[in-house]
Parts: sequence; structure tokens; C-alpha cells
Amino acid sequence: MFTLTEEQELIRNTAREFAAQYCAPIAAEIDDEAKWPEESVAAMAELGLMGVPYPDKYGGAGADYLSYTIAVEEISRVCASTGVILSAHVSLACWPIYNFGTEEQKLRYLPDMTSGAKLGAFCLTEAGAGTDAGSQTTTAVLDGDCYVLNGSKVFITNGDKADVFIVFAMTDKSKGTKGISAFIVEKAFAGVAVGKHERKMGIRGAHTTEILLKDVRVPAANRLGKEGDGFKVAMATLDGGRIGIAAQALGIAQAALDESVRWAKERQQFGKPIAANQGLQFMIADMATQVQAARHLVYHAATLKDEGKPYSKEASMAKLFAAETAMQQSVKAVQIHGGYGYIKGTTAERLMRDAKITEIYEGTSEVQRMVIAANCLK
Amino acid sequence: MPGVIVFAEQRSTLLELTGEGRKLADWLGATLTAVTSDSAQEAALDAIAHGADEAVVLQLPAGQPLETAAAEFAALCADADLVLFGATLRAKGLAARAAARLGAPLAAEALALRPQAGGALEVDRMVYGGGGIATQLLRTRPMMVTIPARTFPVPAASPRSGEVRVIAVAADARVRVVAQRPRTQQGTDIAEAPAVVGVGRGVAKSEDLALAEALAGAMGGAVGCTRPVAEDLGWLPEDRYIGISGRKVAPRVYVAVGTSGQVQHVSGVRDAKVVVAINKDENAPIFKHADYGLVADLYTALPALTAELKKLLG
Amino acid sequence: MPNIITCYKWVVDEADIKVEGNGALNFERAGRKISEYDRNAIEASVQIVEANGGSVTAVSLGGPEVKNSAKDCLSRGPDRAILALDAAFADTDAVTTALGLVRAIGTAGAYDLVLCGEGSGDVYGQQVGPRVAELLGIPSITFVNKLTVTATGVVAERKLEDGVEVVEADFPVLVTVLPDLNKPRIPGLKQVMGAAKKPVTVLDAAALGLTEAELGARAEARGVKAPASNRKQVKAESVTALAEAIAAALR
Repeated sequence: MFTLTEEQELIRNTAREFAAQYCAPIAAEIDDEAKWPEESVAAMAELGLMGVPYPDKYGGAGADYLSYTIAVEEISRVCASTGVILSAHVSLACWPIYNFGTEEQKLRYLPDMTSGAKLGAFCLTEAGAGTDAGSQTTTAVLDGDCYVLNGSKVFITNGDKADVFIVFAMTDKSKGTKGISAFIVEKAFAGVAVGKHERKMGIRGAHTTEILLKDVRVPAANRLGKEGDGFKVAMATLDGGRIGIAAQALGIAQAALDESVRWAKERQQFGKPIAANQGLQFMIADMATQVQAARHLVYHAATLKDEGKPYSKEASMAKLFAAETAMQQSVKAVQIHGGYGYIKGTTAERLMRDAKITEIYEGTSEVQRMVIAANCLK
Repeated sequence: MPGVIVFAEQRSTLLELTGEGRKLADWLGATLTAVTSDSAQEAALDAIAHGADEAVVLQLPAGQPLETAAAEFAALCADADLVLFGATLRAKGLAARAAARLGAPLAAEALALRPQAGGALEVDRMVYGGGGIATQLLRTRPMMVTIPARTFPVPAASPRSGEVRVIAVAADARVRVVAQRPRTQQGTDIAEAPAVVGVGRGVAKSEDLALAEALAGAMGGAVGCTRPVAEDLGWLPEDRYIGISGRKVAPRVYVAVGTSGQVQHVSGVRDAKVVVAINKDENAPIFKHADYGLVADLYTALPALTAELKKLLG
Repeated sequence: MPNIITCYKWVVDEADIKVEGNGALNFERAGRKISEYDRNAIEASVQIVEANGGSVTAVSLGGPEVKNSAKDCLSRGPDRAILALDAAFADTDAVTTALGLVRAIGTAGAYDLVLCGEGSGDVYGQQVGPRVAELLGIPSITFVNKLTVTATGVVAERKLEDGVEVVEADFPVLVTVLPDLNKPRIPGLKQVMGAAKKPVTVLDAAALGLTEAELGARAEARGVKAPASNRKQVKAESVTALAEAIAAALR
């Protein structure tokens, strides 16, 4: 089903070499110290990874979404923090501009973003509006040729490092989700501030912060889509974003398998490698099968997107399955490592902490099930 | 001339190959010619004493690299059955260029030579970065092979006589050696040392090399390392790294300290008589390539072992 | 503005080779890659042209599957590729390889510099470079870890057993490079996507004018096996026991 093109294979090689050279040496350190991987982000920009699926016209590499998916997978296999920095930028910040922006907005923002000169972030979630994104309290009030935004957003990936934010705010509270609008907000706009830094269980190298908006004047020309289109923009963006997170989960799951295989072959107990035990062999067989099944779902969703076909249901299936696979396989990896797997600093332990978030962000596993069910039952 | 030809830049390698070449010449019923470059002219007479029927000195014009002699060397080999080269880097170039002139295959860095029926020669050599040993059968003449130094012992000398010929090599004005910077030997040459301690990335700090130095000292040996220790960390000069692309050593004892056991490194100590591995990771693959393994922390094991060896050997 | 030919080999990725129980090597799932040493040669040629102008033509020889190497190679910077592809070239020896490469280089137009890796990642015979030079009738400088291009030639430092040998040569000249010459860049995505637009010429053995005799096998391959560990693998009970074993071996 998935014979990759030469370009897709080469992009995999580039992502793999990048990950080996830049991410592998620091993955444990940035996790431990919650340190932003400055050099890795710069190198991703240099290599053209920050704009994989966007046309040359907007500064992108002109590759397809499957290539981008593969890049996120390979990077996350080594460092899930770096994987989500990339995924949040490409899927959640660049994509809504590319898909919903006017030509002028695209030309103004995308070249700097796809080249990595400017980093993007997506600001939907609020303290009281997580899965229930409709209950936004951030407001946008038209005043002359500007909207004035007030409110605060939480759990913003890339929050403190981003230059461009896709911000959702209520323009008409009475209309519920139909009263939400989307805006392109620059960090440079007066009144934009970075709030609290979250201390997370996993993906600790990626920064997650609050974004505070106080009387931020955003030119009306920066509204993304029509007034009231915000919810549609958010949901469509998250559909695609799910493929990015599914790819991240797939990378984590593959890493859990790789680590388990390596350990099982090397670790000697009772005078033989633990891989000689059939119980362990069966575990490895199940893990490998799950990972491969997840890969097929993820690549299939990306392929549908590339072909311009509906992919919302498949993206949800991919994200649901890949995230649960990442969680299950990383728990097994820790188990296979025994006591060593429970020691801070081992890769298995980091994978288990990193995996958990993939079942939560960009739509929890429960939300994915809702989407899938709705698609099946309508 | 028909027969066996051996070439080496260095006297010791020339004599090793002369010893093996003599056996092969007797097997083929052929004469043995020892060839060297002018850098080791005195070796020509020694080669005769050690078994060659005649010796040839290639006299290079000043400022010419060895490879310039390819035409003259190929002419010598045109009718030969077998040509063995001591596999120094320059000699590999000479061998390749001479082989190209003759349209002959060349087996590089042979690990073993096995005479076969009908004057054919079976040769083993390492491939896939040390991951495989390839065997091939050479039959067409001339059979050309390069062989690393110290593959064969130096044979005993006996009073023999033979002609020493000098062949002047024609200069090639297009290429010039403009400077030579001899390698500054820092400490003992690891290829000559009777014992070698090989340091890998399991050693945390460059200061800890002192522990390895002390152990090497107790054995009368030298310290070598894996490639990353020399190339990435720069803790030791590059002539100390052991492996398929680095130095190959054949000491009586090789002690691997904190090395993981990658095939590229292990293949460099293939010819060590005894391999000892010390690593705190009991799962390190190096233990599969060792005669004696000790699972221990380097910082306690090395000083203890050094002290014990001083008692036993001192 | 030198015109550079850079030769590369599309080799089996040795990391993918599996060892069977009987020591046989299994290549079933092994991918292919540009030989690591040749990546240094490609990088060197691209850096020279970035600094001095000129052009880089990549040349490779192998079985028909080597066609898949073109985009990989071109994404690393060369301007075009000439591929000598023929079923007869799969697993061929250094004699035929050098001959085929020389014929392919002959179709490339005037050249100043030919760059090769010091050896290939699979066979590592370290001989195709100097063979090509001999057949082209030009000097070769092997095992180079520092290379300077002048208006009329090169100054190269060879890293040899006994030290450094600095060699000057006039164009045209062939140089084989060591891995420490440079650090090959990771191909960027735009370079990957742009590779398809660069010209690739494919020539088979007949097009290169190679005769049956020139293609013939000269040595008989008798198989490849994983090296067997012949070590004792004894676990030392104590430092004292280990010291005694070492002392015994040294006496």
C-alpha cells in the first residue's frame, strides 16, 4: 500500500540524519532540564523542515503531507519534544494561514514561517475551554480598522518562542461556536505577553506557556476567514494537526520497539539474552505488529489529505490508534527493561512520559472516538 | 619475469613477505623477486638473505610520489604469477595503478592466502566494515594481493646471494611532493607495543586516561582508543585509534576499557593473542569478542588491576 | 572554475545485513546508500565549486538498481549525473568498474579534477580511484585529508602511516579523500525536491563500448560469511584472576 517515492525516502533520510546529528545527543538533557533545543530548531529551519508541505511560492519545500508526516515520525523517534515543536508550527500555525488565509496574508506570513525565520503557535485552548472549545472567553471587539483582543490562552506549544500566533476569540458571544473568529497575531503587537510556563510530565524540551492578550489591537486585515469562521478554522486545522500528532506518536512507538529489541538482545539473565524467552518474543511480536498497523493508519490519513479527499475520520483513527500504541508500547518497553526502565535518564522511561500527551492534546482519545463515531453513524 | 614478486616500502614488511613469498614461489616452482623503493634500499640485500632470488630497487627521482613508479613496476609484473604488496597506503596506490595497467584484479588487505590446486590462490578479506569475510579464488595471471604488515613472521636469514638491480623511475612533471611532515610519535607506537589498552567512550573524562596509561605502563604497553575518542573527542592523536579504518594491532594482550565492541573497532584487534574486556555494562557486545571479561567499574578495576600486574610482572 | 567529476558507489547499507545461524549474510532487507566515503568526495566537490565556480558531474557504475541513487546524489549538490548501468555491472570487480567509470567520464566533456572516496563502504578495496587515474593517464593523490584548489591544480595533504605528505599536482588530477576532509551536509528538503530537475544520463555497457572480455569475471567469488568470534569469552572471577591471565599471556 505504501511504496514511498524516492523523494519521500530521501526526506526520511534527511529527517533521520538530522535527528541523529542534532536531537540524539541532547534528547535526554532537554527533557531533564526542560531546555529549548535552540540549535535543533535552527537546523530544522536550515534544512527546510519548517515548511515541508507548502509550495515554493510561499517559501516551502513543495513536498507532500506524507513527507511531512514521515519527517515528524523520524524526529519524534529520537526526540518527541522536537517533533511537537515542528508539528505545532507546521500543522497548527502555518496550515490555517495556508488554507484559510487571503493571498496577501499568505505572502505576508508564510515565507518567514516556512523558512523558520518566524515560529508559529496555535492559541485555542483556555483554562475553561479545552475539549469544549466553543466556550471561549477571549473576546475580539471591532474598533475602527482593528479588532481589540482580550483574554488568556493556556497550554500553548511554542508559546514563549513563537512570533506568530493563530488566536481564536469571540466576536459574537450570542452565536456560540458560530461567534468565534480566528486572527493572525504577531508577538510584536502591543499587549501580547507570555504568561506561566507549565512544568510537564513529558515532551519537556518543547515549551508550553500561557499567552496573555491585553487590549491587543489586531488589524482587521489579520482576521483569518470571515467573522464567525473561527470554529471551522480551528476544527479543520486540528483535523490536519491530528496527523502530525499521530506521526509523533508513531515515532515514539517505534522508538519503544527499537529500545525493547535492543535491550532484549543484549540483556543477559540466567546465562542467556532475555530475548531467548518466548514470553518476551511474543511481546516483541505484538509490539511490532501494533507499530506497523499504526504506521499504515497514519500514512493512509496523510495520503488522503494529499489526494484532496476527506480525511477527518481517518485522521482521528490514526491519532487515536497511534497515541494508544505509543502509550502501550512505551509501557511495555519500561517493563522489558525491568528496574533499569524505571530509572530516570533511560530512554524507555522518557518515551513513556512523552507518549502520554499524545492521548490528550489536539483532541483526547475520547474526542477522536466521538469524531469517528459521528462519521460512522451519520 | 615469471615468478613471485614481493614489494614493500618498509624493511620489516619486505622481509615478512619475502618469507611467505619464498614458500609460494617454491609451491609454484618459480623464482622470487623482492622489490623495494629507494627509501629502504639496504633492505634489498636483506631480502636476498631472507629468501629472495633477486632484488630490485625502484629509484624514484627526487620529489616524486611512489605511485609514479607504476609503469616500471607493471613492466616487472607483466609475466609474474603472483605479486604481494605490503599494504601501506602508498603501496596500495602503486598496486592499484600497476594492476590497472595490466588489467589485473587486486585483492586488497588479504587476511589469509591459501594455495589451491592448479596454482590458484584462495584469499580471505574483510568486507562490509568488518561485518563479513569474503573469500575469492585468484587464478588469472598476475595474481595481485596487498597484505597488512605483521601478517607473516620474518624468516631466518641464511647466507645467500642474488643480484640487486636498480630501476630508475621516469619522472612525472605533473605531480610533486613538496613537503613531508613525519609523524611525531607521541609515546610508543601502538602497532609495535606488546600490550595495548584500548579506551572507548565508557571513559568519562580525558583526565581518566591516566588510569589507562598506568595500566599500559604496568604491562609495558601503550594506550590506543576507538575512533570517537580520537576523532570526535580528540583525547588521543589519530594514530592511536584502532579499527578497520584506523590502526590494526596484534599485541600479545589487548585490554578493551569502556569500549562497546563495535565491529569496526573489534576488527582492528583481530590478531591480538589475548583480548580482555572491562566494562561496567554486562551487556556490552565487547564481551563476545573477548577471551576474558570483567564486569566492573573502571575507576576501581583499573587501579586494582594495575597494582596486581605490577606485583606479578614487576 | 574547475570542472569536477565525483565518483560514488551505491552500496548495501551494512547496518541492515542480518547474520544467519550458519554465519551466512542475509541481504534480503538491506537498503542501499551512497557509500559514506564517497559522501566526503561529493561534499568536497560541491564546496570547491561553491568557492571557485565550475561544475560538478557525479558518476556512478552498477546494476540497474543504481538508478535509484541519482536523486540522493543530486540532492547533495552536484549539477548532473552520469550513470553507467548494466546488469553486468552488478557486483563487478575493480577492473571493470574502473574501465566503465573511465568510459563514462569520457562522455562528460573536459574535466580538471576527479574526486573519489578513499574506498567503498562495502568492498573497501581502496583501488578504484587510482585505477581510474591510471586509465585516464593522470596523476592520483590518495588518502587526502586537506585539499586546496589553485588556478592550475591542487595542493593536497595525504595522511599516511609515517606522516603527512604534501603533494602538488597540475590539472587534470584525481584525488581520493579521507572522511576527516569534511563533514558532508545533510541534504535540505528543497535540494531533495530540486534533484528531479537535474539532468541524468544513463549509459549501458554497450553504450560505453565495453567488450565481453572487459566485462568478464577475473576472480571467482567463494562466498561471504560473518567473521566468527574465536575468543574464549571467560568471565573473570576477580581482578586477581584477570591479572594472572594477563601476566601469563605477556610472559
